[in-house]
Amino acid sequence: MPPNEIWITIDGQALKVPPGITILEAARLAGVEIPTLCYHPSLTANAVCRLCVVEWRGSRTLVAACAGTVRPNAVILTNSRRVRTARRTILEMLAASVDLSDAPDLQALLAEYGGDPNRFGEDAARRTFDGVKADNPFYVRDYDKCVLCWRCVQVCADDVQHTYALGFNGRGFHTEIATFFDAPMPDTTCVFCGNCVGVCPTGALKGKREYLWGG
Amino acid sequence: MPPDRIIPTTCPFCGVGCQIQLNIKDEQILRVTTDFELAPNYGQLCVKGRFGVDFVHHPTRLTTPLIRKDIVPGQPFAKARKAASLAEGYRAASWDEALDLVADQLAAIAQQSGGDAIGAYCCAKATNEDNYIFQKLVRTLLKTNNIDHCARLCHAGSVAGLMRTIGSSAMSNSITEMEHLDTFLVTGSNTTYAHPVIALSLKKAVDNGARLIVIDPRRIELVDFATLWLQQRPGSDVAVFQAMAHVIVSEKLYDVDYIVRHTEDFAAYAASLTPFTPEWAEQVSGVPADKIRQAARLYANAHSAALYWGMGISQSTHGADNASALVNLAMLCGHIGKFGGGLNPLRGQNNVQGCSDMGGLPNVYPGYQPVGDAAVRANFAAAWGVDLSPANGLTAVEMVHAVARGEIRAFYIMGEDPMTSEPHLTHARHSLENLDFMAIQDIFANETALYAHVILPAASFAEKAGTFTNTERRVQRVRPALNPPGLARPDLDILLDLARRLSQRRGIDTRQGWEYAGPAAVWREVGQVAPDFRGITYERIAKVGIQYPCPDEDHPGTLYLFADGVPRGRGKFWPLDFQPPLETPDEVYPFNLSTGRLLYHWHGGTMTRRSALNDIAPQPVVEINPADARRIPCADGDLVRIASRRGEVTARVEVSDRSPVGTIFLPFHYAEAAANLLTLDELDPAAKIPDYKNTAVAISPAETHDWQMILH
Repeated sequence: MPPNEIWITIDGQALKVPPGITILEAARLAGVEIPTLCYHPSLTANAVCRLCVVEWRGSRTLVAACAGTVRPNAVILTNSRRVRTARRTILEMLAASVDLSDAPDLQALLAEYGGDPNRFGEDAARRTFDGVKADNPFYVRDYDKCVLCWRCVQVCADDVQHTYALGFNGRGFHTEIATFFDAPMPDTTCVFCGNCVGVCPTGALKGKREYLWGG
Repeated sequence: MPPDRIIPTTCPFCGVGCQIQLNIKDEQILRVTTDFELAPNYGQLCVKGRFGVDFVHHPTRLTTPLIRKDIVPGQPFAKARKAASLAEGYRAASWDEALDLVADQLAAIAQQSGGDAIGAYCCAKATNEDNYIFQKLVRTLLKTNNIDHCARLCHAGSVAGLMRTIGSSAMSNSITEMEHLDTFLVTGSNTTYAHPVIALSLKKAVDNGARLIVIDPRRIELVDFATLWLQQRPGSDVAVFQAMAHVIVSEKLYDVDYIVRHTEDFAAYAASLTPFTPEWAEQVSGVPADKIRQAARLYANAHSAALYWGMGISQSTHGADNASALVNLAMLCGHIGKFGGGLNPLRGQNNVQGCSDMGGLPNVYPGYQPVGDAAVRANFAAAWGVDLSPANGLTAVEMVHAVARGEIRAFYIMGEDPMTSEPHLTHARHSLENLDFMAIQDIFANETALYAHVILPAASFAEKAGTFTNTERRVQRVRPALNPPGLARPDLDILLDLARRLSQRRGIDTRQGWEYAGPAAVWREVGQVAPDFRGITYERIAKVGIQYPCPDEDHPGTLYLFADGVPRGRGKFWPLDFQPPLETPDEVYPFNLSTGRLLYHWHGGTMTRRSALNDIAPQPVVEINPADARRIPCADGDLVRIASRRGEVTARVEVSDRSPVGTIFLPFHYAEAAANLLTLDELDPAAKIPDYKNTAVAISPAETHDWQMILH
């Protein structure tokens, strides 16, 4: 029988937690806040953004708190210098390449971590696409603002809607969220539930009404 | 863009009752968001709830009371006639003038011809409080039980079938239970269109390993998720269910313990099943006998299995039989009264459950207490302090017929649109033109409104307070986020004002009077007369709704019904005979017409045709099977004329194998191609519901259409 509770240490604080919970959940039990971006409590955690990484004593790399689960006697640092450097760099790379003007939470994190949005200089590559896609009556897609968190893809697939209208096109830096063959939304399986809009953290997906309003 | 304020409330569309947040900026709805923590939808919405509520800002909202121009004080009124337009037919009036006129007319007609000369439609979209006061007004001040609403045209078949077998008609399980099911049977419900967020739970259940049986003539989206799909011929539902019961009995798959403890008449019922073999059912329904056996075994052998159904079962002249057949199956297998196991008619309107609960029906007071029971009647007479009519009232379609016979002289209609939703509209129109007086209370001038003598502008869901009850019996708060446009007033406000004027003219005083300190006070009175709601207070449901029955304030609410047996005492097995539909295709009218809903529209279209939703589905489209399209012949995008014995409409063709060969599908949302010009107004003898799924029609190519999207 596995134990009902295990001992772990988070930021020097020893506590008993249920085995199998994520580091993020354990940190919340300890009253420790870890920043997240791609993580959403209603969706599968894929740990793609790496913003929630923590240092786990004995682990070679930093571990994503949203997906990594605690083990007995884990010693975890959520705000060490190494962690802060990693987070700051992630935020700086996002700020350099993506339009974060509609993502006040990310801007606040950038400031909190002392990030410099111009760290990579004038020549830093930006992810820009050909304008706002307004191909349906209900919502618009502005992929200049997309940080590739995958939430929209997951909510459209097995996590909620089972409609599979959204996926990925391209690779690496050129990856973008797209429909199959980039078809306009009305030609896809999309049922316009807007659950993707509801989970978008950066304003890349937005109700058309709100977009036309001027936001 | 940050909103000025965020108001949590309940979605105004279907019976799922999703919790939404109206984000308001500059007195407009900027966007709709939702709380991921809250039942019943946990952050999920469909297109209607998220993008379709902009109808509240539509320029055609009614903003002032209107009176017909041809009304001259002191002169007799012209009968109800359709006005060409609001501008031509009506003049603006003050609330005092309009309400005095309504009160004068209703009082005079009640005086001259008795209260039963008045018919009233309450509203499955209005709040519980609106509907409670409405039926109280009708019963105490007009002294009639002629009150009904559109539930008659949707789940009356289910209600009749459930009441005679188990004695309760509400959905017995909850949405949260669905993900834990191991087997479920969905029949006559295009759940992904009509209850999209409930469909998400069904899909999740399949992900979790549940087995889904779909019994439906149309290849609906859920078929993609099904273990078994039984494609019966339209109208042959009872044959399939009876044959499943035959298999369960002959293979002894039934739950002896449940049958012995909780049911009666099993022996007679089991004997009655002998002729209904799967082979016989294959002849009648076209479903292979083997598939019927598989479905019966899957359902009977499940640990917990639930039945979900919609209009395909209920909207039939044998709707009560369809529902009884399903009850028989559940009782045979003991799949009732347990977690995840039960009987679940999916309710269509946001508050159709609540409207019925509040007594918006001709034969019951609030809480389904029968009008015909002298003791019950005496209780209500004592509670309200007035004498009450002992006679059951007329149902919706019967009221229209009674108008034609001159027995009903006046209609008072709150928020309903019988001129779109009634069957055989041409007949309904002729009936309405016989009315001496008609008043309507609504947010838009719908098809029915233009017949009215007086039109009263009401507040929308976003502009008033109260509660809605969703399909799983969850009473949820509705909160005002905006001010009503112009002079429009919340329904409750209008009704109470009218009641005060009527009370004076009729010389009738109720115990409580007609001054209430808001909807919360009305809700408290509901709890006093209907014990199932007594434990639900506005404070308790401030954040999350509570599922009735909830008899006291310490009661947590009821997740699933019938844990201790059914309300009737013992569930009654109901032997059935197979009846084919009343109208079947023949040489002149060779196709069967089924009507129903699209994902993007809502009922008569009064709201959705005035929202962003209309941009994606602006025109009436008829679904035709490829084989039929070759036979007609017609192609995708062509115009066709669809004619029945009662009328004809024009629609654009969508060739699709969703509809089976021989059956076409036409949504009923489009007034310019009203499906109900075609349908038949014959009624189920037990439920008084018409058949919207079986009409014989002919199809011919059309060159032009005369559609006008008429928004008055």
